[in-house]
Amino acid sequence: MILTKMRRFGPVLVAAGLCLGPLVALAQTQIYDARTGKWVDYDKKKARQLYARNKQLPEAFQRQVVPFRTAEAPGTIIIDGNQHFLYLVQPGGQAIRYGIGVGREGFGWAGIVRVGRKAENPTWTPPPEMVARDPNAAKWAAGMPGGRPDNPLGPRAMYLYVGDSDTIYRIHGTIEPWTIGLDVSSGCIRLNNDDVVDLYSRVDVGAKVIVLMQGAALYKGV
Amino acid sequence: MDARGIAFGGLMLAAAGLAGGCQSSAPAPQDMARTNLGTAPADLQLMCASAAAGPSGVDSSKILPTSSSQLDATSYRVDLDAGGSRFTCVIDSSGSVKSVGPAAAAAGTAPAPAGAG
Repeated sequence: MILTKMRRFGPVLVAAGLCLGPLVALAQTQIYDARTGKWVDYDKKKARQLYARNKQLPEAFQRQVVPFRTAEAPGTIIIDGNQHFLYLVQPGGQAIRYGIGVGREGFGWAGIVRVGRKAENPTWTPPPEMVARDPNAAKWAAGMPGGRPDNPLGPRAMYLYVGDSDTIYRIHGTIEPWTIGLDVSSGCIRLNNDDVVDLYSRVDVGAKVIVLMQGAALYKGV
Repeated sequence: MDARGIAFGGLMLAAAGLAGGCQSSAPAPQDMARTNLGTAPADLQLMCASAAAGPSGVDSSKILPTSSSQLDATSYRVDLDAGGSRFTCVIDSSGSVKSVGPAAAAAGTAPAPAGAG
């Protein structure tokens, strides 16, 4: 049984609200550069360069409708952490696909969970270890109000539960839109803010969420 | 049109053909990202999870793909956790499940054909 099995950095994940962190690549992602007709490595540096130049995400990570063959009911969320995509199942063999940022090495997780609750302009509460090392985080130890432009959760959050228990993981927005397509977080799923608003409007509390992540450090709900 | 004009026109057509050839090799927008992991597309992984419900006796909603790899140009292997038991599935890119069975079987012999359970 792989129930809640932690392999490496699992204990760190116990602290609540930890969704930020430095960038460490789990695997090499490449994107197709239509200007040069070549595949190029997509890492933190390249992502920042492209976002500064184009003011938008690479085409692959932009919201789009794609074919998706599944027996899962419309409204189900499928997260492919390795490929950095979130699928929202639609009728007729299709899904809306969003680009995402996921957990960095040691913080990736997989499982079958559900949307336990949703929040507009969510409060961000930094985890204790971040409060201890970061004075900027320390001043928000009691929670940064939602709606601020520097709130790391962005304008919407969907809280992932197993049964009635909060997993501490969320699907949320970001103040670092160039990190979409990268392994960046402490386990939360981040979308750019337009996308998280769109997803939020389409998802109901109770929606099933399947998280696929090869090499996961942790399993939830199975 | 003289001979030079015909030759130039031919060159232009050839160039257009080459350019067209380059453009046609560009991936579709949804395929403009890839990783070196070679994991199976998410929908194929979930189709394998559904296929494992029969032989495992576990509700498909409790079966989770845990890893996958590309076997050849058209097929993938998907490893599954079904209520604590490990299963292996082989599926092609069209979504046809070729085999599914306990992972132990995959080590020595082929998994049971799809639909056996």
